[in-house]
Amino acid sequence: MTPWLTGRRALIAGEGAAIDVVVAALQSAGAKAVRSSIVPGGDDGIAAEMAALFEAGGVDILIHGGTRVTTLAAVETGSDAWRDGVSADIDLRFLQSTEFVRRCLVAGQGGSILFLMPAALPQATGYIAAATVTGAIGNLVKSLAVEWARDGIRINAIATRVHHAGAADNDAPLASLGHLATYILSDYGAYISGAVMGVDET
Amino acid sequence: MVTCHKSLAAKPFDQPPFPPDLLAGEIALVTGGGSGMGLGMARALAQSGAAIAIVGRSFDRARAGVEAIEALGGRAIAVTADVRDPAAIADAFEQAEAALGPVTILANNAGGNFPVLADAMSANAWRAVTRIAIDGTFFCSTEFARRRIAAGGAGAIVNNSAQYIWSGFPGDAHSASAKAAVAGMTAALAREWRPHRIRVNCIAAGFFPHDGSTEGNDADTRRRLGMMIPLGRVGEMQEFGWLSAFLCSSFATGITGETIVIDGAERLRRSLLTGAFEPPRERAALWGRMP
Repeated sequence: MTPWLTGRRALIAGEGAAIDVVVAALQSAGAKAVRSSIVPGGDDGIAAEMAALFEAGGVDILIHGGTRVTTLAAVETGSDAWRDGVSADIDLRFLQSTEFVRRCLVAGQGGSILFLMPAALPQATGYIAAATVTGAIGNLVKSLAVEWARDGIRINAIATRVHHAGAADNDAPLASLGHLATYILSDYGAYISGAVMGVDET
Repeated sequence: MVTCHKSLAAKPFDQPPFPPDLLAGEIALVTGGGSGMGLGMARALAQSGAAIAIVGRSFDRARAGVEAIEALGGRAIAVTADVRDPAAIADAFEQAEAALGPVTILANNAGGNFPVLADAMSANAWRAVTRIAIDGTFFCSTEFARRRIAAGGAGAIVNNSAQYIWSGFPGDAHSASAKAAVAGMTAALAREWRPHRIRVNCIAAGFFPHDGSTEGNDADTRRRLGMMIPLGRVGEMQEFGWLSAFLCSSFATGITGETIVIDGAERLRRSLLTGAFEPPRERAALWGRMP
């Protein structure tokens, strides 16, 4: 692996096979990765965790995989499952990324954010939650990219069917996901912001 | 309020992201590779070790591209062809493969563009822009794929599209249609050629000024163009070229059918309230004015 992220420090939040792959790729590219202890519903701890991280040297990358969303059909998804699997996901991403940026602004530093999320496959039953999250986060990325562009903070997303384990028939998409994420987060991706991309979604 | 106004500088060309042998043994055919964005692709591919066949309608321009590659220490040839002519494309591949070996990478860059209102556009103008981008991409891609399939080998295609493919582009209907067609073609061809391990990807590029740009490429123009863009600057050609090389490399073995936008978030700038709408036909400058 090429040392695209030497000296960078990344906060890793959320879950999914994609997160594990990207963390390994980041470390291989020279970044240090710290796992967030925040769990869905633990919004009250976000500010304290971020404050502690910045007091301990700071982070300049945030990667968020969200929560594991439900794969139930819409009519079978109760309100609690909906809130746990959709509201918790988009809330957590929003709250952690905005807190990250607030700290970056105070520190006078730039940063890179990458959201990893499932690809929306509206033709398949059971993707209502994924489709909702992907829609929300996709447009969140596009909005925040402009809000934070002149602060030196970039934000992008990779929406892929390999976000959760078992969705790929070979290792290539996951391996390339790691490379793509690393490249986008590095200074070689400095002109990429507000982009929502896939890996192999056709 | 905390205000940072940080500019994210591009890495210089002589600090590439890839090792010099990443594409060693690969042969890349780049259409329109003698200048502008095609040359940006060609230089980045050559910097990573690929041999380059530069295809263009102008031999002199293609030859200038070859000299640019050779100045990097790379190997390249110039081939004259019009991408709208399937027979000429087949001949270009023949020449490239006779000189360099089997073509394993195709960069579809050839294109043209100029501001014109649709109702003032001649049929020839419409055909020139759409057929170079749409027909040219299709003819070159299918020629490439037939050869790769016959050889039993994998391959990679990268298409040069534009960041306005999702919004349309008033005053540029020919290119807006053509570039969106290329993105659609990317996904369809990726699916069709997946069994043959031929990957097809696309880049939706924003402002990457070069000497042939309509707006110009001097320092003041670049500065003023940069003021329009959320990230605060125009793109540097190596950033576009390197993304092209990435998509054609082993780093992207699992990536196909995708369109990746690189535009400094330019396409996303909007306000709910803005100036009065000015119909394109009433504008002093059809594409607008730089700040």
